[in-house]
Amino acid sequence: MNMRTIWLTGSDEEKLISTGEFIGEELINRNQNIELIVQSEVREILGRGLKDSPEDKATFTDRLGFLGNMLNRNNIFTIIISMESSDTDKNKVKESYGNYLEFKVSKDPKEAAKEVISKLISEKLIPEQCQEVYSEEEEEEIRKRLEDLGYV
Amino acid sequence: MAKKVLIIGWDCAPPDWVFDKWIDQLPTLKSLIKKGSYGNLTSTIPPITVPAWQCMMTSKDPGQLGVYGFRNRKDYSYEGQSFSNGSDILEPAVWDVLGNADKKSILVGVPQTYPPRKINGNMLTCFLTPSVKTSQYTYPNELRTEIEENIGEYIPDVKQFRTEDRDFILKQIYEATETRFKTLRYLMKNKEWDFAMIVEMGTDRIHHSFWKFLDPAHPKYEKGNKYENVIPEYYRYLDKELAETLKLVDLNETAVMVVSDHGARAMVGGLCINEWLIKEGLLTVKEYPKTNTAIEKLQVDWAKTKVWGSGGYYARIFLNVEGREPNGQIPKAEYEKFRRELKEKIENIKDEKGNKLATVAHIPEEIYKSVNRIPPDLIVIFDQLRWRSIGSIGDGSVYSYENDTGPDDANHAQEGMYVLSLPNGKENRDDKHHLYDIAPTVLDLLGVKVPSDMIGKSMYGGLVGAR
Repeated sequence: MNMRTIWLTGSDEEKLISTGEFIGEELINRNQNIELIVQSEVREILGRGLKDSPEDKATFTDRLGFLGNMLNRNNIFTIIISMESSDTDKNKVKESYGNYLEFKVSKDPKEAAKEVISKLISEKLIPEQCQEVYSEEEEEEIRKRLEDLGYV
Repeated sequence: MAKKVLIIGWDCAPPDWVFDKWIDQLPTLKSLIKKGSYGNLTSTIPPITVPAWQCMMTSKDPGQLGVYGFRNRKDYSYEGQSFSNGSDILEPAVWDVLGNADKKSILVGVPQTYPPRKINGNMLTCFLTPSVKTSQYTYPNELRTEIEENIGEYIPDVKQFRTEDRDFILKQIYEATETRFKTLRYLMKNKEWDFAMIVEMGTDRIHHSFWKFLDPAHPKYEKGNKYENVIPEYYRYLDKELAETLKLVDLNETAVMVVSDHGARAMVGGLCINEWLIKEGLLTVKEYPKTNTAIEKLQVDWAKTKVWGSGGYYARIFLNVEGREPNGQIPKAEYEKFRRELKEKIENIKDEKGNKLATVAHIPEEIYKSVNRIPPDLIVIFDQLRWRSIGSIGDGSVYSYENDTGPDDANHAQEGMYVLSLPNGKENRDDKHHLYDIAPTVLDLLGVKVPSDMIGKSMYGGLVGAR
């Protein structure tokens, strides 16, 4: 299985979400399925029954890891925007589910997304190039047309 | 501000002809000029349909988009080139920004919008659609059936361009243009919209096929020839289509723009870049072909090659660098020095009579804000585009007066055109704008915040009577 749950962590949620969206676009363009989960948005449903105690926070983090793992099993990359989980809780998730990748985001979202994508490429989790839009026959048709038009 | 914005794109429309020679024959365009700003619109480097239209609508340069022309390197192999398409555009276009502000768009034939993707509105893709029979070319999907039932078969481009039968080309151009404008008007009448845009490619196709019959500056121009008025007649037809389209909008609340992505000029001839590289000892083929052959189809001796190039309206030059290309010959440490020396040599290529040409070999990192994906090592514009680049080998000469892919009369020019007509606007010629200014202008007109990373500036604030 080549899927991963990508935890984007940091203090600026807007920046983290933008980074997640940029990563998502790159993954979609490589024909990958993705799910973007913003911790603060799913807190109400996934954290149902939980309070703010350290144990409950650890449980909530584990639930996110569990969900990510389940999506991964179904060939979906999961991007989690996380500002609240502690390092200890995340380490437990990392131990429980081997598909964990964490990136601390402090820079420009595009630059951060580029780093994540480079890492996924270097680990051969995704192809270097975006998906081929044209089939071989279509590519030949386009080539002929563009040559006729003098563009190439 | 305006309630709606309509953009009519005339690919390749040249301001020096439209404004200075034909305007009195184009009453609708003239009426728009009376109510706004107009003038030259500087294009991208290179001034080519792809990436120019997407640069215009994202307000990003080709380096930022990572699209340097129709064909781009997908890796550092010698063969690895792919044709650019809409999936290469990762930056938000004006319709994406408008969609986030809950505004609806209509797009017809905007280059590099194939494959179609979700927008807040309706779109039909561009001439890079492989086939309207087998490819999905609309968003949403069901729009395709609706168009086919109400308009007929959508024609994204002239089907057969490279033929000596000019009458046949002309017939195809008119058919395609008529269908596209009918499609636009159908959508304007039947769908909600705040922003509507069409790009008509017939202008580009007619220039490439008929320019020598029009322009006394073309070496093959003959006064009084049968086709001398074909291009101005087509513009008069476009003016009528514009008039029909404007009947659907309330000009008291709609801003109308007519824009082009680049201009046109007579093509003097072609510079065979790979023949020149062979003569300079920078490129070696294992067997010199007997007839003109594309470099991709030849066996290049990469161990004896430092540089190769591609043809088109401009040249893309690639260096064979150690550790980068599979059989690289230029040591990495010498790359910059080599590139600069090559730039100088290319800029000093003279014409057949020994006259200096105004050629510029651009270094991508110096002209773009950032350089994404794999750019050519040099982007060469020969003699301000009076000459095109010929990539094939076999002629034995650096100069050619016939295109390697068939007849072609025009090359592109760096300056495109724009007209921005506003409710209560006043005539004002302003030649200082860049095509990067179009997207911010649209957003500004519709009262949507311009993203800070758009590199252009809105024209709107600077117009007489604009606010």
